[in-house]
Amino acid sequence: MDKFENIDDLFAQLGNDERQAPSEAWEYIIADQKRKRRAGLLWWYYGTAGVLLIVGLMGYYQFKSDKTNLQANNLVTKKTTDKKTADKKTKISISNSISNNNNIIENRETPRIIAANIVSNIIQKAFANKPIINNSTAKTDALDRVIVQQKQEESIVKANVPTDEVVTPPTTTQNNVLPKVQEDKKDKTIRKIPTPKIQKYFVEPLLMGTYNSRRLKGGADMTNYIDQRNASEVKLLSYGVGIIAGKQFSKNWNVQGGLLYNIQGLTASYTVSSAQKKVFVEVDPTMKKYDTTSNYIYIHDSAYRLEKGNAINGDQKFHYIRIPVIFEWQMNIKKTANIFYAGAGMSLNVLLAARGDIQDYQSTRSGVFVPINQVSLQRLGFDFTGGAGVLVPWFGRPDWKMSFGIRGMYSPVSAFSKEVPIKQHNYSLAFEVGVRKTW
Amino acid sequence: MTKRNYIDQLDEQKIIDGAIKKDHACQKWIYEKFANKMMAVCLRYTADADEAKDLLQDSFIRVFDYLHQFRHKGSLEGWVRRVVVTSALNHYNVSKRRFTDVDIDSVDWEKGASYTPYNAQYTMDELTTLIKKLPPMAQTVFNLFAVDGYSHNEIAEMLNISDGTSKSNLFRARALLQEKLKQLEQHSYGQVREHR
Repeated sequence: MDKFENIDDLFAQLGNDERQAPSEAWEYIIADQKRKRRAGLLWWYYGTAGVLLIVGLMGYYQFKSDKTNLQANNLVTKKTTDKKTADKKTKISISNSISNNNNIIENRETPRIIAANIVSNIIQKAFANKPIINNSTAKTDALDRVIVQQKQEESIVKANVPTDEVVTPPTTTQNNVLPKVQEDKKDKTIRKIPTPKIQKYFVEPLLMGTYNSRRLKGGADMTNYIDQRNASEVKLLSYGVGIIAGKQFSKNWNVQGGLLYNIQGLTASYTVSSAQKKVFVEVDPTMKKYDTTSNYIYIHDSAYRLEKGNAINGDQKFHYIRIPVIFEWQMNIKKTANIFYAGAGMSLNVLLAARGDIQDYQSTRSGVFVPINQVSLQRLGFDFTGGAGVLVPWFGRPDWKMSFGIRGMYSPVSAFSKEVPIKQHNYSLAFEVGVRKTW
Repeated sequence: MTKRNYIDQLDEQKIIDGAIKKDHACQKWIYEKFANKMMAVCLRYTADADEAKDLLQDSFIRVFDYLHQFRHKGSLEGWVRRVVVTSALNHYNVSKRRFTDVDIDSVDWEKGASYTPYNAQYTMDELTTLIKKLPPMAQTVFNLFAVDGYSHNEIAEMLNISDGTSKSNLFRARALLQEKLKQLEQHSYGQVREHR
């Protein structure tokens, strides 16, 4: 008979021990890999869709904005030209000359506008705090220069022509020449008075600090469990990041959408005052069905019923991605002033992952680590959101602003613990800081 | 040739490469090769078969997630075993308050240090059951030291305890196991006498 020198050697045999591994373990491992792959793909899908949406919106509004500018400028040109044609009959040669020159200017309107746009943009950027110079101002300056030039030409013509050959134009016409042109200019100037430009769209990356809480409701035979959870759960400060883009559709209103990611965390610590009945279940292959239900996310496959007197301590983390649509109202729209805003809307939320790590360290099942929680949570849902804040000009730059805001979110989520449905009401309060670039 | 036969002909390196690339056939080959041995490890570190199954699943998920970190410095089995043990200890770490440190002075050193020849008459089941009856900390330290061959330094680092605590728990485990083995022998002896 073999003998062992000491107790360690006797037990060292266990190192070579083999036991039959359960057949379903391999299936679980494969299922887990598939789930991770799906989650990864989901990230890519939503990320790509979000980026494409933002880029598409930016491109569309840029194109639309350029087109509108050109159409408006062409309209002004056409009206001016028509008016000049009507007046032309009563004007003397010198006024014809001015008119012709003006026509030359007007005929060159489109390339000039484009050039003026570029120049005025550069000037705006260089003198961000100075009054805004737009293309109509530039054009008016050009007209002023032409008028001065024509006055000089007129005096030269008068000086060189012999007195007897001078054809004196009708007094009325003569008196009307310059005033007419100036009237023309005045008319244009009135039509083109620089008005505060409404910056049509914006993009804002932001960071959020989120304070979360939840209330559980429902669940037959689960009153004690629900009450204990509601009483014991502690709110945790978690974080989020995101990017939103929006369009100003009137002076005070804008609509915005984007992509927000945040982790909602909770922690709980309490002692079970009565044993749960249907909440926590033993490892059961039938629970797999939640894994395959597309609209529900699986938290953990195994859980144990908790007996009275067990102390519970643990954390939960819910990883959410949100696609919000928010209508925002702004007050005090000035480029260099603080703008106050308030907004409300809804968002589609996608629960990317959830994990409930709760330990039962005084369980009657000695040494057992007990991962428990709702078996499944609704994967897709909606939440309601509302908030307010202030946009502060960033170092005097009119198109960059820092935003500081507070946002509240509420989302009702359906959950299941085996066959028992529970309603989970999530409440979050987010403090946001962002940088808003407007165009 | 089926894929399975093809896999069998590959050397371990190629199978590992395949498993890193998430080839299910290669992963299954690794799983089938080590699953039974690792199940035995899981059973030693957990309270029951259900939990052992959970641990086995989680461990193999980790094995496949981190297989690219395997540096071929030792055997693949050794590396897989280390992952399983680490996974088991992670479970303990999150519920560390279960551990009750034993005061080193309260340990019966004589019992723990005594060497007695033991007959190899115990089955693996019996030995595993005896280990499971130990207090959690003593059970873990004994498993790590006597069965899996870790040093006190390594155990102290893994469990975030001191060397002294590790040693005291080991001696405590030895003493308790000796007691239980004696009881087991007496029980068997009594049964034999009754039978006669």
